[in-house]
Amino acid sequence: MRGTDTKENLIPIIEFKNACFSYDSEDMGAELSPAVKDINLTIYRGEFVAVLGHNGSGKSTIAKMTNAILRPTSGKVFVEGMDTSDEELEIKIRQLVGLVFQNPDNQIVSTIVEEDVAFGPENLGVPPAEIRQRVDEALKTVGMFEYRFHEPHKLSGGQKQRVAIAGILAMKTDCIVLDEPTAMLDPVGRREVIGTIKRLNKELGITVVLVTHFMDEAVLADRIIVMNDGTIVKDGTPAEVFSDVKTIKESGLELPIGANMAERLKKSGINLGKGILTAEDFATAFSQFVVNNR
Amino acid sequence: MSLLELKNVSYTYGAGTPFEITAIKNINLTIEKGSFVGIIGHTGSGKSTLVQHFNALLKPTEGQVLLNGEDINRSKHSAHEARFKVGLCFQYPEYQLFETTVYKDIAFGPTNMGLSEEEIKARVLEAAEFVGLTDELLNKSPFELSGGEKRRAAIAGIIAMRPEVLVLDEPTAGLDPSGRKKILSMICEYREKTDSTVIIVSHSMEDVAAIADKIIVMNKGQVYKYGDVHEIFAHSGELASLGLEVPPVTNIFLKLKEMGLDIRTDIYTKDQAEKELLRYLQKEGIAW
Amino acid sequence: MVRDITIGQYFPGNSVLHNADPRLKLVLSFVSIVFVFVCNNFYSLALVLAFTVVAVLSSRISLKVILKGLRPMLLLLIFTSALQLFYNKQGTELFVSRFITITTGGIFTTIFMVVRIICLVLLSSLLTYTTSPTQLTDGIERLLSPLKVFGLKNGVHTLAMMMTIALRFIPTLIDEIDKITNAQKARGANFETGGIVQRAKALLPIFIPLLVNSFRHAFELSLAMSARCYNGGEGRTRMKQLKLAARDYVLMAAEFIFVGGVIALNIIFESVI
Repeated sequence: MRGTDTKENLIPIIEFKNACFSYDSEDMGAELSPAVKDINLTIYRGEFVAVLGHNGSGKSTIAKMTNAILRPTSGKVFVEGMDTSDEELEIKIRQLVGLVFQNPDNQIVSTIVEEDVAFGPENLGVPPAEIRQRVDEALKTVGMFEYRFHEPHKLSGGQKQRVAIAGILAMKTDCIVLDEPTAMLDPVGRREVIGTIKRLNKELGITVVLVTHFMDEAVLADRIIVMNDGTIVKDGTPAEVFSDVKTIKESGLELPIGANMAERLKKSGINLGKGILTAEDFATAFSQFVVNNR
Repeated sequence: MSLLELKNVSYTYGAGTPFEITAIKNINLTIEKGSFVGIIGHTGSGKSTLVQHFNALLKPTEGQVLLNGEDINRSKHSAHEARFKVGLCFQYPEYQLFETTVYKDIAFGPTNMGLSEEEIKARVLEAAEFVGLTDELLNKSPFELSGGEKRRAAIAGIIAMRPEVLVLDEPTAGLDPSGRKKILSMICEYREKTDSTVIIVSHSMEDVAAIADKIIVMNKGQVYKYGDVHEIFAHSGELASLGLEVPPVTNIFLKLKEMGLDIRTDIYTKDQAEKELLRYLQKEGIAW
Repeated sequence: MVRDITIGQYFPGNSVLHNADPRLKLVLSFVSIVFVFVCNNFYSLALVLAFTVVAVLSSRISLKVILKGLRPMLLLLIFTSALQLFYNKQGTELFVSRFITITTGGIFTTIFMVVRIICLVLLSSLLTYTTSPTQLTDGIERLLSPLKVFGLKNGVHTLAMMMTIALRFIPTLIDEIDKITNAQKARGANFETGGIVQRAKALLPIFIPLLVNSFRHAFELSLAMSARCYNGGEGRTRMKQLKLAARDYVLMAAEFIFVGGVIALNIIFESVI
C-alpha cells in the first residue's frame, strides 16, 4: 500500500545526484561557499521525511530544489525521472511535487479563501466543475471548509498555512514539500498545521517532506535527514538519528525532550532503554522502569 | 521600589463604534525595579495591547500607567518621554530597519532624544557591543545583514536609548534552537551588566521559565496570575488547562502524575527534572 | 489609525444589486451616468432622480451610509451652486445688484447641476457599495476579454491579476504601516510636529521599511505562484463562471425603460437649460 512497506516496494519520487547549489554573489570574485554540496538523496513514495538542520544548514535550499524553484548549479535533481534543470518539464514537475513556504501571507493570491485554493488548478486548465470539487475536498481535508468565503487576511497564521496547503492539495500532487511551515506560527497554529501534515501522509498516502528546525516535529517522521553546513550528515529513523548525540550536537541541534532526559539519567547510571524520543515515550519508559525495578 | 505600575487599566479598541473590542480589562500590576518579568498567554489574551501601554503607545481607555510614580499619559510630552524610558522592541524588529547604515539606524533612537553627537556615538558603540555586532557591520547597509544580524541591530537600536525598562515582544520568534539560546543569553547578559528591568513577552513558556524571575499569565484580557516562577508552576496543570503550552519537561511530569506516580509537577527546567526523577527513584528504593 | 481609511468601500449584502452580474453592473452604471447628463428638462430630470432613488433603495444600504457618502460633495455643491446662482446671466433677470445677478437661467442651471452631481455620486458609489473589489476586477477582466482579438488578452489578464493581488495585499500593507509606525514611535519618532519638509522627512522611517517589505512580499509571492504552475493567462480556466440570471434581465429591462423614458421626455418637452 504505502511505498515503504517492504524494500521491494520502495519507489523513488525525488532523487538528488551529487547536487550542489550556490547563491549568486554580487561581490566580485568572492568565492561564496555553496549553500549545499554533493547532495545524494532519494525520497521514496509514501514516506514522511523530515529534513532537520539549524538556520543556514541548507535545508531550505534542498526544499526549493525538489520542484525546480532552484536548479542545481552542478549535479542533478530528478522528479520521477524528470530532470529539474529542463525548463520544459517545469510544469509537469510541479504537478508532482508541491511546495509550501514559510510565510503564510506570501502564498495567498486571492481575496477569498476558496478562490485562492482554486488558483493552482486554474493555472493547470482544469475544467471549472472539477476545480469546484477539488477545492471543496481540499478545504475539507485541512479543516477550513467553513472559512471558504472568508478574507484570508483576517485568518490566523495557522489557518492561512492550512489554506496554502489546501491550495497544493487541490493540484493533486503526489508529494508535498513544506519549507519550515510552522516557523512563524504560534503554538496553536503549529499544532494545527502539523496535525494536518500528519494526516496527509497517514490517511491520504501523500509523500511528505517536512523541512524544520523543531525536534518535536522531526520525531513524527518515519525518516530524518540531518543537515549541517550544506551537507547531509545523518539519514535514518528518528531513533537512529537521535541516538547519535554527537552528530546532533555538532549540527547545532538539540535532542527531543524524551531523549534528552533519558541521556541525562544514563549519566547517573539509569538506563531506560532505547528509542525514547518524546515526553510520552519518556513517561511510559520511566513508569515501566519503576514497575520493573520495585 | 515600584518602577512601573498599572492601576485599573482597561483598553477598548474602536471605543464607541459598533466594532469595539475590549482587549484588556482591570489590569493591576506592579513591576519592581530590576526584576525580570515574563508575560505569557494565548494569542488574543491581550499581551501585545498590554505592553504597548508601558511606553504610552496606547493610552488606557480607563485607569492609569505610572512610571516612577508619575502618570506617563499626563501630557503629550510625558508620553513622548516615556518611549525613551521604556524601550519597546516589537516582534520581528528586523522589518523596521530603514537607515543607510547600521550605525545610523541604531542612532535613530538616541538622535530623537536630542543627544549630542559624542553621546550618540558612545551609545551606539555600546549597544552594538552588547548585541555582538562588529564595527565592520556598523558601516554596512542594514539590508546587507543576515536575518540574525538584522534582529540584533534592531534590538541594539532600543538598547542605545538606555531605557530603564526593556520590553521585548517575542524576541525569539522564528529563530532556530541555537538562535534562541543566543538571544536569550544576550538578554540575560544585558540585564546583568546594566541592572535594568526587563520584560519579555513570549509564547514559549520554556524560554520564559528558564530566565525570568516573575511571570504574568494573561488570559482573555485579564491577569490570571502574577508571581514568582515557581509559584506559577506550582499549578502547572492549570496552565495547561488555559490552553498554554507548558515546557516540554513539565509535560513529562504531568504525564507521570497521570500514570499514578507520586511525583512533583512543579518542574520547569531540565536540571530540576533530573533532580526530581533521581529523588523519586531513590525514594522508591531503585537508585541511591 | 490608518485603518480608518476606507477605499471604495464595499458593504456586503443580499439585495438584487448585490447579487447582480458585475459585468452588467459596470455597463449599466456607465450608461446610467451618461444619461444623467443627457436629460435637459425638469421632466427628464425628475425621471433621473426617481431612477436614482429607486436604485439606492433596491441596494438596501442604510441611509446613513448613503448620506455619509455625499458629505464630501457638500462643499463643492455649495460653491458651484453659488457661482451659478449669482453669476449666470442667461434667461430672465430676477434680481440685480452690484455684485450678483440672479436669473432664471442661473436657477435652472443650479438645480440641474446639483441634482446631476448628486445622482452621479450616488450611482457610482452604488457600484462600489454593492460590488466587492474582487467581483469588480473579475467583471472588468471578463468585459475586456473580447480584446484578445487584438492580441491583448494576456494584457487584460495580467492587469486583472495585478489588481487582484493589490487588493489582496492592501489590508496586509495597512497592517504593516501600523506596525512600522508603532515601532518607530517606540524609538521616539515624531510625526506630528514641524513644517511640511520636516514631516515628509519623518515619513522615511515608515516608507522605506514598507517599500523593502513590499519587495519581499512580491518576491516570495512570485515563487509561490510559480510553484503553483502560474504561467500567465494562457490556458487558464476559472472556477467561478459568470452567467446572467433572471434578476440581471430585470435590471436590463429597468435600464431600457429609464433610457427610453429620458429620451422620450427630452423630445416631448422643451429643453430648459
